[in-house]
Amino acid sequence: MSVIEIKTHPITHIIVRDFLDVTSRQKLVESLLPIRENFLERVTYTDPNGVERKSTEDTDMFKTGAWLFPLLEEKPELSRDCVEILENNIWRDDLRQAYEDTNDLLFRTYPYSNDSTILFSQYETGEWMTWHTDERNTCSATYVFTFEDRQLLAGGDFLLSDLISGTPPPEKIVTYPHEDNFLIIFPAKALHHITKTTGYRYSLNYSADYRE
Amino acid sequence: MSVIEIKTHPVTHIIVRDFLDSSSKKKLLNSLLPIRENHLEKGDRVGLYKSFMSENVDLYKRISYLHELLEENPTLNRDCIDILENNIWRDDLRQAYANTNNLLFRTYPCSNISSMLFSQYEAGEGMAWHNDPTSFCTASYIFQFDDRQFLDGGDFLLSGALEIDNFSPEKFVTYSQENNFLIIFPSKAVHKITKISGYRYSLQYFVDYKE
Repeated sequence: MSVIEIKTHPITHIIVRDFLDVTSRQKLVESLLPIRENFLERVTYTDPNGVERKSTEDTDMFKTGAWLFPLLEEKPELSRDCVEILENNIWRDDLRQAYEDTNDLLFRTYPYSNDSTILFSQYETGEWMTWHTDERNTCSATYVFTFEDRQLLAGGDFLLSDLISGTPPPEKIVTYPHEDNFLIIFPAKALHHITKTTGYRYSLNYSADYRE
Repeated sequence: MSVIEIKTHPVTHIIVRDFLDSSSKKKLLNSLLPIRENHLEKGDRVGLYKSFMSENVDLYKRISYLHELLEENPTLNRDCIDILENNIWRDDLRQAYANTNNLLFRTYPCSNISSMLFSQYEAGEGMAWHNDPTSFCTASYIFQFDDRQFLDGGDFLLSGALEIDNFSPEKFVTYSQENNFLIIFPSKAVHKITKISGYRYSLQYFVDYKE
């Protein structure tokens, strides 16, 4: 059974341990396997200064990934379990209650989003993600999991800070060491960072927004 | 000088009395006058606005989307847009957004696109309970023209509900019509304008974040 905690330091966020039940987790991982093997590419992102950066050795972001909705549209033969299981569980009743219980309007209005994207991310040894914010104005949800054949050995911590610019001071940072079947939901505009990994780190990054 | 208050009932919002200084207010009104005379359309005929209104919502007012209008008519004065926008992002209000200690308001200045709606309600017009189409906050600036007085009604009602479906107006706060008054509230909070006598004017400022 999932353990949901609402945290307020350094900024309001929600963590969920044992997010998916065993069956759902297995289905999700199985549906991601062919994507992991065949469709991961270097991803681009826009840095906090609005500059689009490619994930190459010249930048401070190193990971490969796949945007699941466009990929599944292009390849309808792939299983949709990965997107459906994640999305259904992000909007399940106990989490909806947690959004409400934060007593913060950013989380309370999160369920009214009507547009979403999911990025499947893979970090290999030496890869990481610098301090950055996300391209949305609501919340971001990151689901961290492992494949049995590709273990994380060290690093891959998730660091979360506040709505500040630059490198945040230590007192404004919370660190979540890598943990399998772990979900974190945080304000998209809060600075966050992934430390360098040894081995493999996998996540699904779910972004939701409201579009007219 | 403006008086800024952060309110928490029935939902976090900010009100600002004497929002614009007299010189700015005068410039803003002067720039809106030709728009009021020549460019207001019945709201229910304007597709952009109707697109986010439920078919059940009673919408009675005349409106003009200022950014689009000024792009189409570059001879019109931009003071109305510039003055409102500059004042919504001035330091004392930015401080108020931070002081709400609420992430919806704290991230409000991260928005990067905006639209502005100039609204006129005439006698008998009002706006049913509804919410707005963005995920941030809505700012509504209420003002008067000297030659078109407001007589009665036109109250702004703000509820704590964030969903229009199955909405029942149990908890809400009422702000009576007040000249030079700004209210900033969560766009998803259900709100309403009561029917008026005379004229009621407002500028609604919507923001969003687009990649």
